[in-house]
Amino acid sequence: VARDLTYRQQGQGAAETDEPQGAPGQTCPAFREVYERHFSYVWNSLRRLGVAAQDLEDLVQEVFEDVFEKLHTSYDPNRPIRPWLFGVALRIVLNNRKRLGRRREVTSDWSLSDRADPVDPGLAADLTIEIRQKGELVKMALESLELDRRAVFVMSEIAGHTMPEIAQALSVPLNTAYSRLRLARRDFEVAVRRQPRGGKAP
Amino acid sequence: LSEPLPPLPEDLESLLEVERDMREPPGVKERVLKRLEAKLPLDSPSRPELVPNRPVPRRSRLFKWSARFGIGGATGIARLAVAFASGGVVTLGVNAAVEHSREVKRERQRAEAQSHAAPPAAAKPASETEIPPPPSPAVSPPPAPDAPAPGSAVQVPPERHRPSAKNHSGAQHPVRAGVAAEERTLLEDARVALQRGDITEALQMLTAHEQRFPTSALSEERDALLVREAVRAGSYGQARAWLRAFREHYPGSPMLPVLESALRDAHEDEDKR
Repeated sequence: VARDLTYRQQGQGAAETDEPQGAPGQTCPAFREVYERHFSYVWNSLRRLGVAAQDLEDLVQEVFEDVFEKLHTSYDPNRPIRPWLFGVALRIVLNNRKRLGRRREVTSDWSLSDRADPVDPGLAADLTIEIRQKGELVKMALESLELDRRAVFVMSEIAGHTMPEIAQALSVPLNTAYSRLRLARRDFEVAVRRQPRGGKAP
Repeated sequence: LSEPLPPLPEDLESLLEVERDMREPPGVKERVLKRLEAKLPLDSPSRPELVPNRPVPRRSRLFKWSARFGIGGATGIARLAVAFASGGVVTLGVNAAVEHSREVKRERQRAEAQSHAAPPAAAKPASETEIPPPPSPAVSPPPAPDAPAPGSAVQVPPERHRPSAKNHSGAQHPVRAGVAAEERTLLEDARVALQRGDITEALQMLTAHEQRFPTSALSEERDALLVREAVRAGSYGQARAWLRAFREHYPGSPMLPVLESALRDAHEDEDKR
């Protein structure tokens, strides 16, 4: 974890998966390639931004429709694509919230039954339960964050993007991005410490 | 403010590690892809690789427009110089002449197309079920604009781009349907390129359409797109000229008010700026 964190803080690359970094002179990738490689990323980004489980599929589709329209016009192939995809996803989430009248996502929207099960079926039952408890705790803590802080937190701490990438993707000054991350970290930690642990420490 | 933050506490990191391993439920990816394929032309011919926010190359655009009006190359430069010197009078004359020659060309092509479409009577099999061709009209077909008027006969003005009655009755011939699809694709591509802001590509598509289907029933739509393209490119003089021509050719077009308001809005925006 420490090595991974150091790696990400140095801005060497995305920690979540091995996304190829943009290099000068690169050409725009094809839409299908983007879809194949980054579907999981978009799906998880929307989920982490608080999209209800029943809306996830529709919003993923909206994001990729937007990507299809803008891939060749507004994406710079010399930069990594994931921060740009996150920016598109965030815009779709904001539009969706406006559409729904800013209703707060309810807890059951991200229930364990809706989530992909990251747990190996061969694992022991107590380990499975522990992992699920951790996932539930992260979800509750994320829900306590404001959306702008949540976006920075998700991009930095979970998706592993560098701060300049985040600032550019969200169209905010670098200092603002850092400030949001500090506040989000504090809020996240407070939320986690406040939750009852369900018998096991995270 | 921009100093790197210290790492998160270890317990929080282990929490986030679980979240990083999350994947979507199985089958969702394929389902969404199917929905996208049904909605979007994902397998359409690959578009040229574009540099993001690339400005439209002025040279290329100028070349295409100059080629369109027959004023490219050294001759065009000379013509433009003369036009400048004479305060635009010559330009109007040249444009009118070019328009006239294009009109003649279109009429000729239409006449050729009509003669190709009607097979010779001798070659026709004598079939009883065949519907006899309609009697030829009493009024002779319109003469070419440069031909002298025949006597004192009332000259019927040539109708532009009138869709033939055949198009409205019954199923289309497969070849004709294919051509129509190709034509629609060209215009659709031009519209998409225009929405994307790629003026060059849109102009290429429209020029290709004009060359391939000079007397098409969709030429009204094509000419409307041209006006919008010029407005989008910020070439208001050009847009006005094309709009004037459009108004003359299609005075009752429902697209006319839309184009006029687009040009007016663009002007107002520019004035505000």
